[in-house]
Order: sequence, then C-alpha cells, then structure tokens
Amino acid sequence: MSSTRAFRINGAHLIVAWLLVIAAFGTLVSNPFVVTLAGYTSAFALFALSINVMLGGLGEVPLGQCVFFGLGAYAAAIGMKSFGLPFELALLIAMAVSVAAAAVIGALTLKLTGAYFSIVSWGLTGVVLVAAMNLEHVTGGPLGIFGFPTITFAGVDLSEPRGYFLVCAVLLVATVVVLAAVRDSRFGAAIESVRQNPHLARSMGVDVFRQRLKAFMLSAPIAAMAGALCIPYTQIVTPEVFAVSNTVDALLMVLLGGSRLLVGPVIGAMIFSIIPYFFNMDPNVRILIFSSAIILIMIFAPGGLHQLMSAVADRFTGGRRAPSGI
Amino acid sequence: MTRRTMLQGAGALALSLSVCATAFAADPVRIGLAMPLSGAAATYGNDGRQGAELAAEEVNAAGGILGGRKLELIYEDDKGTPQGGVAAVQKLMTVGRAKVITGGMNSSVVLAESSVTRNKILQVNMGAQADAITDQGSPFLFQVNNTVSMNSRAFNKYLTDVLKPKTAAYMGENTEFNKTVLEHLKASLAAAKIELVSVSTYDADTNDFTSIITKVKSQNPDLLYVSDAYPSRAAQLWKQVRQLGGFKHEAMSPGVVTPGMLKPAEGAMNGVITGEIFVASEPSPANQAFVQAFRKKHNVDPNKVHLVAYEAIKVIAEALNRAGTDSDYPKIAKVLRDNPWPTPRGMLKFDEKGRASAPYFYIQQVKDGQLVLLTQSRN
Amino acid sequence: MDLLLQTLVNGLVVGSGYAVIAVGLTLVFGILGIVNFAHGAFYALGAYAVFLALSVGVPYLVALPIAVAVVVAVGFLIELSIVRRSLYGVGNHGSLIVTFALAQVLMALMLLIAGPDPHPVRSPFGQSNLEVFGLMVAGQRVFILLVSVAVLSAFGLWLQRSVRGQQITAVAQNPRGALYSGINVPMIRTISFMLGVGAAGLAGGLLAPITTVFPTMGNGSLITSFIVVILGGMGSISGAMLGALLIGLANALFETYVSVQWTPALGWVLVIAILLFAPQGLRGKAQLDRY
Repeated sequence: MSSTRAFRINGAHLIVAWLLVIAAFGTLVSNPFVVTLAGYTSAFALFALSINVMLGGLGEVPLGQCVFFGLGAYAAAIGMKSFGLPFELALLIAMAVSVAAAAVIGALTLKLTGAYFSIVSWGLTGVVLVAAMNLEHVTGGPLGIFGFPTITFAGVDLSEPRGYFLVCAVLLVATVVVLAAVRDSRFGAAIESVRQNPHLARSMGVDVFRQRLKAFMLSAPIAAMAGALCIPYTQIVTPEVFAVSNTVDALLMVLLGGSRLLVGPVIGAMIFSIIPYFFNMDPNVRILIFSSAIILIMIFAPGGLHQLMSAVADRFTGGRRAPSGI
Repeated sequence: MTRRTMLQGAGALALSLSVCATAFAADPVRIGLAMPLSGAAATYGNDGRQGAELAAEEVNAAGGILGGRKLELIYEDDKGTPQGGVAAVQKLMTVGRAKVITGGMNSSVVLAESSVTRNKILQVNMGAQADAITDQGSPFLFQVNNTVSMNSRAFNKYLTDVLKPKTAAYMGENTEFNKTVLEHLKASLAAAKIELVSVSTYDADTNDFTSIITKVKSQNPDLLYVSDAYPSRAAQLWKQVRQLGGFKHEAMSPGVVTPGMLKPAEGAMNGVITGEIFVASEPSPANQAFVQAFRKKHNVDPNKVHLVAYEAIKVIAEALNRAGTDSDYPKIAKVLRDNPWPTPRGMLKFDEKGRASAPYFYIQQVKDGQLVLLTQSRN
Repeated sequence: MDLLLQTLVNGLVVGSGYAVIAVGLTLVFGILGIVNFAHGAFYALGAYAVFLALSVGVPYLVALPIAVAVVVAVGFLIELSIVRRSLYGVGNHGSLIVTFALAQVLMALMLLIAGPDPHPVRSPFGQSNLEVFGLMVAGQRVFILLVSVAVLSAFGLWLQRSVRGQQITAVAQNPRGALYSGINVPMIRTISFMLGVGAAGLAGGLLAPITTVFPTMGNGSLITSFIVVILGGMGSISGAMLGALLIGLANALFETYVSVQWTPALGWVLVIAILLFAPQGLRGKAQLDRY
C-alpha cells in the first residue's frame, strides 16, 4: 500500500514535469518530420495503453483491439466526411460507438480466456477487415475515405506539426491520469485481483465477468481515440486499420516498456517509433535486427525495460527498494 | 594597412569566394524517392530503384543540371502503407532535404503522401494508377504512368472492336485499382452488347482459385478477363486456369504484366492478351536507346516499372533545368505543363490534372513466356 | 451437378493441403501450448528450401525430403535456443510476440537471400491433369493428397504404436503426470516442436509448385491453419485432419455458390462460432481455460 501512496504524492509532479517536456519539445524542436512523428507516436501510444488495460490489467492478449482502433478511425472519418461534423464531435461519437461495440463483443467473447480469447478476437479483425473492404458505400472500399476538410481540435489546426503534436501529447497525458485514477480506485483493485487469481476473486464475491467487461469497455474508447487521432497524420483511412499487424506493433510497444508499468506502453511507443528513423539501413535488415532484438528481450527480460531498470536499480540499492508490483 | 596586406586580404577573399562558389555549384539536387522497399510490393520498389538509378547516371554523365549540379537520389521505404508513405515523404522533405518527391507504387499510399506534399513541394508519382490521385487537382502533383481509366479505355477498345467475344467473365482481386478496371469493363462491354456472365472478386491472401475458375467455366464465357497486379498471385491464378483447361480468349488488365509475373507462370500465360504503355521491342530510336542502356547494365530487358521510374527522373531533371530553379515550384509546374518531354515512349505531354500521355498504347500477347507486340493504337 | 461434384473434389483436394500444416500446428499449439505465429514462416522456409535445392540442380522429389530435414533442423535449433528459454509456461503473450518476431526474422532472411521477386518451383507433376469421370484435378494436387494421406497415416500409427509416440500423447494429455512417470518431458517437447514445424515445411514444399515461392507466402497459411486447428479441436490430430477437409469443402462451396468476396470471412466466422458455442471443436477436449 505504501508504494501506491508514494505514487500519488509523486504522480502529480511527474505529470507536471511531463507537460513541461511536451511544451518544450513542441516549441523548441523545429524539424517538422520529428514533431509530426512524435504526434503520431503519441496517438499510437494511446492504442498501446488501451491494449495494456487488457494485458497488464486483465492478463489477456486482445489481438482484436485493432477493431476498436479501426472503428474509431472510420467513425470519425465518416462523421467528418459524410456528416460534416467537427473533429471534436466526431471523436466523441467514435469513442461512444466503440464502447457500444465493446459491450456487445465483450458480452459474447469474454467468457473465454487465454489463447481462445486471443484467437476469437483475432477472428473478429478478419471479419471486420473483409467487411470494410466490401461495404464500399459505407467505408469507401479498398481505397478508403480521404479528402477531409481542415481538421481542428479546440481551435488548433491539426495539419500543423506543432498543433498535431500538442493535441496528441496532451490527450495522452490526460488518458494516463485517468488510467492512474482508475488503477488506484476500487475498480482497479478488483481488476488486479481478477488478473492474479480469478477463482479466488470470484470466491471473494467479485463478479469476474462484469469486471472483465468493464475493463474491456474502458479500453475500447482509448483505442478509438487513437484511431481517430491517426487521421490527421495520413489524411486517409483504409481497411488496413483493422489489420492485426497494428495490434502486434502496439503489443511490442507494451512489452518493450513493460506491461506492469502504467506508462510502460508510452515508453515502448517512443522507443519503437524513434529508433528506426535514425538508422538508414536497408529496410529488411532493419526488420531483421529489430525482430531479433525483440526475441532477445523476451528471452532475457520479458517484463520489458521496466524489469531491466528495476533489476539495475536493485543492484545499486542492494535490493532494499520496496517491490513496485512486478 | 599596407598594400601587401590588402592584396593578401583581397586574394584570400577571392579564393574563399571562389571556393564557396564551387561548393555551391557542386551542391547536388536531391530527389527523394518514397517506394516500397520491404513487404509484398518490394519487387516494384526494387525495379523502380533500378530505373531511377539508370536515369540519374545518364543525367550526371551528361554534366548534371542547373550549372553542373549532379542529381542525388535518396530512398525511403514507404512500407506499402499510408502511414509509411507519410513518414517517408516527411523524412525526405526535412532530413533528406529533397527538392522533389517521386516514387509511389500504391494508390492509397500516394494519396496519403499527396496530402503532405500539397502546395509544398513538387511530387511526381511514378507508378500509382488511381484516377483519384490526380483528380484532386493539386498544382504541384504530376503522374507519369497512365491512370487506370486511360489504360482501360485504350485496352477495352481492342477487346470490343477486334477480339469481339460474345460473352465475358471477370476475375480480380478486391482492390480499388481493380474495381475501376471492372467498372470500365462493364461500361465497354455493355456499349458493345457483350454479356458479362460472371464477376468474381477475391481477396489478397487467396492462392487457390480452382473453385472460382470452375464456377466461371460452368458459365462458358468466350473471354476471361483477369485483373490482378501482384506477380506471384497472378502467376498462380494463370497456372490454375491452364490446369483446368483455359478459355477461348484470355486477357489480363493492362499495365500489370511484367517479367516478374511471366517467369513464375512458367508458360501458363501463353496466349494471354494484355496492354501496356511500353514495350521493349518497339523500334524507335528513343525507346531502343533506353532498352539497350538498361540491357547493358542489368542483362535483362526493362519493364514498365523501370520505364516510369526512368522517365520520372529524366523529366524532373529536364524540367528543373529548363525552369532554371530547383525550388520555384509554381514555375516548374508551369514548365512541366507547357512543354512536351522527350522520353523512350515518344513525346510526353502533361494535362491540367498533371497526367502524362504518350502517343501510343500497345496491345501485346504472351508467347513463349515473353510479351510480344500485336498492334499499337494511337492515344 | 457437374459443378457441384467438381466443387466438392476441389474442396477435398485443397483441404488435404491444409491438413499437413494444420497437424503441424496441432503439435505446437495443441501440445506445447505455443500460439505459433511463426508457423507460416516455417511453411515458407520449406518452400524456399525446395526452391534453393532446385536451383542447384536437385530434382524436386529429392529436394522435398531435404527441405523437410532443413526445416526440422532449424526447428531444433530454435527450440533449443529460444523456445525453451522463453515460451513454456509464460502465458500467451510471450509466445505470440516471440513467434511473431521469429516469423519476421525468418522472412527477412529469406528475402535477403532470395530477393523479393516470386520464384517458380518446377515439379514433375507440374502442369499435368488427371481426369476422372469428367472431373479435373491437377496432377500436383493429387500428389499432395497422396503424400498427405501417407505421411499423416504413418504419423498416426507412429503415435499409437511407438514408445516415443505414446510418450508424446501422454505429455499432451498430462504434462505433469508424464513427468512423474519418468518421461523426459523436455525432450518430448523438443521432438514435438521439430515435428510440428517440419510438417509446416513439408506443406510448404508440397504447395510450392502451385503457389510459387515469395516472402509473404506464409501469411495466408497461418490464418487457415489456426482456423483448422480450432475447428478440429485443440490437441487432436484426427480433428485437425477432419477440420482441414471441412474447411476446404466449406470454402469451395461458399465461393462457388454464395459469394467470392465474402469467402475470406467464412473461416473467421466459423472460428468465432466454434469458440463461442462449441470450444472443443470436432474432436478436442472441452477446455475453456487455456494457459
């Protein structure tokens, strides 16, 4: 318990520090490529966070999380293009749609666990991808939806690198704050008990299925928000947003940073996105090296970088640090 | 100050100025190419690279452009996705300091890229064919390859006027490219009173076509029209068509048949008719100069992808040179639209939408695993 | 009627192609509990091995067993160095990520060695056709059918009759019990993994003349094999074979009579339906909780 309280005291300071870093980055860095990439990375980090609600929170691998990611992207795109809605409203609708979808999907599939749950959710992405390709009048078919009017959020023009980055980064921080509050609430404790030992939790009176459903419905709008925020980056939404490879990329980010750390996915996202752009190697060599690195990490430090850092920190403090939840 | 010091100072100043001037003159013109260098379409990126490099070598060997400046090609992998394309183009424009963006083999990717380059930099799309790209009416966006509509119009004319089948069937992958091909096919066939008896669209992962082919055969069409741009899949498809007995007339959508498709088909495509903006055997001096130079360097004949890459670089270089600038994009765009450009295909002209058209379109047939010219039509 | 018969034949023949790779996945997924995202890559590896052997002049029928041996050897090395250290008992996300990264590594290697272009593979049955009662079947597919039946029957017999085979079944049913009765469980696991990926490699080599050899060829087979394994029932080899035939038939019928463009969704819909309503599949044990 003391570690949770310790987090609360320092949490606010960390958040302020983070906001300051964002402000500094946004004003000082002038290379538009780096700034826009940072914005896109922040948006994708949101997706990684949503996956970690399921993975670090419930212990499930939601291969189908890209369904909500894509739903968010398409809902926002259709809202803007076909209904002329402003981005803020389209975003809210996208999030609402995803919560509704999560309720339905979760009711059906959350009784399964482990590999079965993962494969069912993978299956859903397959169906939704085919649907998106075929339902042309809704989704624009294989070419997708493009040709949006200028996208602004709270008055900030998202086609400007700085604006895009600031909006995405601030929304990311806000989401982390919300998730931290959830983690420290009773609901968070219930989820943790479900993750560690569902049978024990059930015997203590926790409605396991309901808590899993609530967690699922919490993760969906975060993924949807991420999907909608990716629209200003490419100005086009294609059926590939439903491809399971997006989920796998985000999973890699979560594992890199550590699934037991709330901001682990964000750290992982930053590493995952920034490193490739500083190496000018043949793309296939890059894939080779990066994938090999992932394998090595999974063999030697499956808890991600957080585990490595903790191990290093333990070395220095002689193991006297209080355990932080690994 | 003594006169000697002044002279020394003047000499030093003159020397440093001339060094600067030479350094400035030697500053290369960077052209950024965003292409698929990994993933399923890597074979197109590879071909594009070869074509572009040949063109750049020739331009540089002839002395470069804009007062002796050499061309420098910079590559970024677009990974075949819109996100990859956007990142690639942004990196080229900033870190790569490219003055012109080119490359582009996939329509969704180029659409995404075009929103980044719009009104900011010259973009010459090499290979992507969706009409939607140039329909946007972007002032600095140009396209070297034919659009799907341009190819379909020219090819379907041959099908309806010369081949004259009584009935036809269509098989194609479920993409935007093919959907447009199908729409044009439907229109052309309807106008010529040819019945389209069967339409089958399959997805990208399909490698077994036996059920589809069997179904199509049961409808007994005179002509099978296949629209599929991926070499490995198309090769498999034709092998299976051959194994199930083939059809009276067989056609493949124009602009997609390359040696990379013919080789794995191992003769299964013999007899298939297709159309293309370029054919290696065309005897004009301009075409042969390109074909021979490529053959000398790579020991094989160039294909359409090599051609459009080569042309894009050559046209860009010429246009920049003629406009006398590497960054006054309105001027360069005007120069591009106002003038015809000599290429292996003849004189290329860009229209108001930035689309290039050449004098001829070629109808070809596969014989012994090679494309052979049947006839050519004027555009 | 002709169309129906030909469609049924097509479905069965295609299904027999799925059977081998699906049985391989059953060994790795069903017995070892590893969600093997690299299964498609081993399939591709088998195909590339055949292609490389052919390009140095080895005839197809000799290249095939060589390719399988290569894949089995690679499987052995990978099991020893990677799988053993990171994948047993750590839960799904470990195996998913590691096998996915492994698949990327293998594909990148194949691309760097053989280039991105698709390569044809010549087989002695290449373009030949067999015509029986007016129904046409490609020669290579008949070959695949025969090899599949032969290999799978031999394998089934081996599982039942040999000591090693029975030990594998024991480990599949109860790893701890098997350990307590003195079975060398780690070695059984290694063998299962080698056999599992070897089957994928064999399927790749068998199908290479039909599909041509290209770097991303594994992806489609990966999805299909998972669908088949779930349909057939986890851990059941006969279930995997049955599931393969059923999927082959279902796809062929759906494609011919309903809609070509929605066919890719069919497999997924079946998987979802099975997992929700009959998770034991056709022949597996009812187990909702899985690692």
